Amino acid sequence: MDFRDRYKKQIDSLLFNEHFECQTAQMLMLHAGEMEEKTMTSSKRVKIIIAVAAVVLLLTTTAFALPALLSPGQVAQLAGEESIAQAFESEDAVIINQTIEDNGYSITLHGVASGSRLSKINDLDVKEDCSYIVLSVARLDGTPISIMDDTLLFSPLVKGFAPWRVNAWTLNCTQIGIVRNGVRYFLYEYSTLEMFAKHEVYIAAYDANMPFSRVYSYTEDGTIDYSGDYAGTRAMFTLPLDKAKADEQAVQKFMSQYE
Amino acid sequence: MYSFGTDEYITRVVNNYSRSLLAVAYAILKSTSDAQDAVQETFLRLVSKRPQFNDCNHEKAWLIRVTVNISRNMLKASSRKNLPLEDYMHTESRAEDDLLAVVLSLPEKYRTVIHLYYYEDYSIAQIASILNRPPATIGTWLSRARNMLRTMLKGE
Repeated sequence: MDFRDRYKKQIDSLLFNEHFECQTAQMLMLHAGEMEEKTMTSSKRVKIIIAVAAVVLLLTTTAFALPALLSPGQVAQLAGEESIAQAFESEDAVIINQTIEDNGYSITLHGVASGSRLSKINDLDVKEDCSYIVLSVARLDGTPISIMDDTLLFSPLVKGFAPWRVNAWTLNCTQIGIVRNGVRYFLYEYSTLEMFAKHEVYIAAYDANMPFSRVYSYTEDGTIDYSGDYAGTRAMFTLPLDKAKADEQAVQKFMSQYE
Repeated sequence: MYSFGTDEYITRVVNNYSRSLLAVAYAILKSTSDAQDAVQETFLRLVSKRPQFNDCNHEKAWLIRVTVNISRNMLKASSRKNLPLEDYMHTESRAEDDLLAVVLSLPEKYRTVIHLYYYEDYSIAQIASILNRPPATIGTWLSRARNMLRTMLKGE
């Protein structure tokens, strides 16, 4: 028996608590239930505020209006990320609030916070070498989106860099999703995007059930654009990064893993 | 796509990944009870953070990465509090099996790489992606770990 087989056999013979899986699943179900309850309670509060706002709106206009969107800081706070909420209040945060409407959806890039100043926030949850981005998706007809609905994925893309090399996965993406008043919000954490600031950096939304290459095209000259023959939902935002914070050495180091 | 937080989702991830995650946590922490704590914390983060995955491989790699990070933090915390976690568990594992004891006696980064390579059958590139290190670094660690194992196993 070779080393691999012997090692596997010995690891597989380790005895853990025989009820571990059952106990863990029960604990998680309880936790998920508590989270859902919290979401619904907060949602009720937001609904009351929205209802008051809606009455005021009805007095002035009859046009349909999407719910008022939360700020990036509010999204981070509701997601339980206090320190990231503070980051969105810092000088380094850029509030964007750009909306693209496509295929019955309203997709909004709310803001981005990244950079070394974030380290002033004395919390392990905020990393100075990471970028934090808040996005949201709402249905244009006002039908609420629930946490259970299929939705879009978001990935950073950089002009001149192949999407299969620079994307959410290679940039160590972590995501938290919350739903408030029928709008689904996403708080993303990526390895810092500022290093790419000399290039055009995009945040691209795409349907999770579609191969990425069907939704976006990448040409030999490094241009990334919408793919012509795709009929589903998508949106591409350009991130306004500070070019002074570009770090070509870090980019080279990042890309060297593919050499 | 799957629905986060549903009983079906929780049952699926716990049943599918517990054994793998317990194994990698044990390789780092050398303790079955600490490994169980680390894996429960990993699952809690999954349910709380609701990350999105491209496929099951992506999902498993994310879970392994989080388990490794949590286990490493537990190791650091135990060393800060002067708790001899590794030494204590070393005796436990040595009694169980010599080969495992030899692997567990390697420095943490080496035994983690050995585990992911030989137990999970990940490639160097995949391990590099999970541990967020350049593939060349992982290759070096794997080579050094193999040399150390060779020397130690010859002395058995």
